[in-house]
Amino acid sequence: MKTKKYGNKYSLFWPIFFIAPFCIFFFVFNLFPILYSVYMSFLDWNGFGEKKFIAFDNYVNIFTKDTTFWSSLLNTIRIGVIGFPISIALGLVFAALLSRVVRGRRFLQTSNFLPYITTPVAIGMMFTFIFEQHVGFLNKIIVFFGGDAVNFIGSKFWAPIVIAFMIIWKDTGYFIVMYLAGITSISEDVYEAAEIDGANKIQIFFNITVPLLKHVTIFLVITSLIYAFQLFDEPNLLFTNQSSSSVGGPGQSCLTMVWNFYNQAFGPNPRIGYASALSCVLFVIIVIVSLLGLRIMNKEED
Amino acid sequence: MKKKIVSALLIATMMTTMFVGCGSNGDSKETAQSASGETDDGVVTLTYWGWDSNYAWPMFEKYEETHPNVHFEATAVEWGDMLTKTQQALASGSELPTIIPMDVALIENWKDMDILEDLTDYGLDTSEYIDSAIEKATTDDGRVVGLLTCVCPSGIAYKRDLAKEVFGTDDPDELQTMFSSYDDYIDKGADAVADGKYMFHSGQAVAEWLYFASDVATQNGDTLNYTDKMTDVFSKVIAMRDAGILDTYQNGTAEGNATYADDIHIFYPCPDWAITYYIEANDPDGSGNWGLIKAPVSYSHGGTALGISSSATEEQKQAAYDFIHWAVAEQEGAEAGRDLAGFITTYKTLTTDANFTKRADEEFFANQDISTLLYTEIANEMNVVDSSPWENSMISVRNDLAQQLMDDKEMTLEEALDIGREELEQLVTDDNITIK
Repeated sequence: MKTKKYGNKYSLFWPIFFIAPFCIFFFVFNLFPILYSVYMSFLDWNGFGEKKFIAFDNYVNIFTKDTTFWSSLLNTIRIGVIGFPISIALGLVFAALLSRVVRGRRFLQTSNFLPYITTPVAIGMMFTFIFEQHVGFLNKIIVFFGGDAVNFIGSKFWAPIVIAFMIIWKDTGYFIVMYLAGITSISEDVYEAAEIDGANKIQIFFNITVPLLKHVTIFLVITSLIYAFQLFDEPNLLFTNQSSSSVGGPGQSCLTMVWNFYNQAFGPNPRIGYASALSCVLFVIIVIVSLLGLRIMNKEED
Repeated sequence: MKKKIVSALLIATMMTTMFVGCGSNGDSKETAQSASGETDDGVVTLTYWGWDSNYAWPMFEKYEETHPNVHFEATAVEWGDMLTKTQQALASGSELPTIIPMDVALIENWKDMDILEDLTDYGLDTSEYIDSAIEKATTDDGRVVGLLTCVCPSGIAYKRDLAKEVFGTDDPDELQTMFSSYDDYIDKGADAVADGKYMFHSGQAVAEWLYFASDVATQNGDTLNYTDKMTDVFSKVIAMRDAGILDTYQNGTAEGNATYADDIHIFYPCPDWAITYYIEANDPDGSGNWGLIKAPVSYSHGGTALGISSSATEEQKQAAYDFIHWAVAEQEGAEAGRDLAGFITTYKTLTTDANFTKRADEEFFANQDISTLLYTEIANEMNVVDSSPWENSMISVRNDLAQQLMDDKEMTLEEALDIGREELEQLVTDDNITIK
């Protein structure tokens, strides 16, 4: 009797019933596409023609023949290395400063966060108007002070820096919010104790705030790494228009891994099979880099 | 019991909400439609994806006025996304639009997809249309998969006030004589430079003009004529750049387009459609201040072909063909295309009719007879080069090289060609193609 009662009360039906929608949706919209991408990576297929199984040829080509893959990896790292560390550092500093502000704190928080929720299309247009050679705001200032206008968007040297600046502008507000949440959780007692011990503001920042926000920093670094490897919107929007588009921007200096993938998958001469292999390699790179980042940062903590 | 009922209702609500997103997004105003594409009340619905809202949308409205049995459902798709969206729909097994507009620069890619009907099956008489238009849309096995909506002859437009100021005349005949070769632009450009003007606003725009004016075919068989084509284009661009007559605007950007209304840039490469889409749009106060001359080599640039999706029903295909024929070959439709978007049809009878080709906007060109210039003089001698399935890759490299050459004034032709070759080798992924 007891068993029956237990069985009725803890029937497997209801848990399965409630979990099933998520599982079904996860399988149909997440797991199946991922597995299907892996399957497609073994094909020579343009998306609509005949599928030809070619085993690991796509992967062999990526690592032996495709110099664009390596240059796109390098471009992605270059842009990410310039953009994200600065953005995270600025986020931390501004959050520390904002945490001490009493009046107007909410306004400052909101205004800093606005770029993060601005649509990428608007950001692309805005940065064009800032950095354009002839009518760009920045060049107007340079010329006003007697300098020569710089072709920021058309130069393969400056273009990646402009993209990195877009990242800094857009993401710093998000990092501020994350760090502010972290700072709020630090006990005021710790700060008071440090002040009683005679520590100045800078010492408090480096010896209390920064170490106690390490978990936030780890989270932000890992998510930034993932985001950096998925960089696409910013460069694509800045360098794509009907009359003068070029794949990867000036000298392909802003061809990121995802833009390369996109061009291979959805360009006028699509190679869905090859692009799937690229996406699988990108996935593995992101996993490895994330694990490495996690391990290095946790090691420092130990 | 009560709890169970509440739970059941909640579950039902949750499941309904979840599946609502998966449901059809049909417009309730639309009438029921059968599998044949014909509704219960006998109306055939034709779907369309495309970017040209200035042309397609008003044309559909106009056609519906006189053909109540046809209804269009048009979806705006960016020019750059059109091919991609169609490829994605094809790969995912989604429904394709009934009528497909194809940019002629990408028409070989459209042909490769093998999704279009042969228009001759519906009664298209190819002899009635301009030969080059039919050739562009004909596949290797002789199927005509599209009908070009415009001839697209191209000349060089200029601002009369600046021409008079710099060259002492704004008369098109005198300027035509003055600028009869590429070297003339370089030589006379010195006067413009001395006056603080530029002959052209963008190295990219000039590269685009020279690319389409070049008589070097992009591809012969399995060989891409990269070196010959780009040498033909960029040797001239570099000569112009070194003469200081080219400004560094990016072509087609808002900033570049704003130069149409300034008093610094004199000449603009100008296909006939650019008169409406670029000149009149960007310099609305410039009526009467524009002139047009022939380029040293008459050429054609741009154009859109309309095709019919093979996946449509027979009723839809026939109705789509009737519309395309109306838009291109019938007086009413062709006139609508001319008046709405400045498109001059590829239908010979009308193209050779001086009354028909008379543009309504000649006042903008100080009443210069640009219609005769475009549709008789230039159209009869213009250079039309076959497209390649790798045209988009070549164009991407061309745009980038033009940009880099304008950014680095020391870059030589050889250096540019090497950079471009490296980029092109990465973009052209077919091992059977040789880049020469």
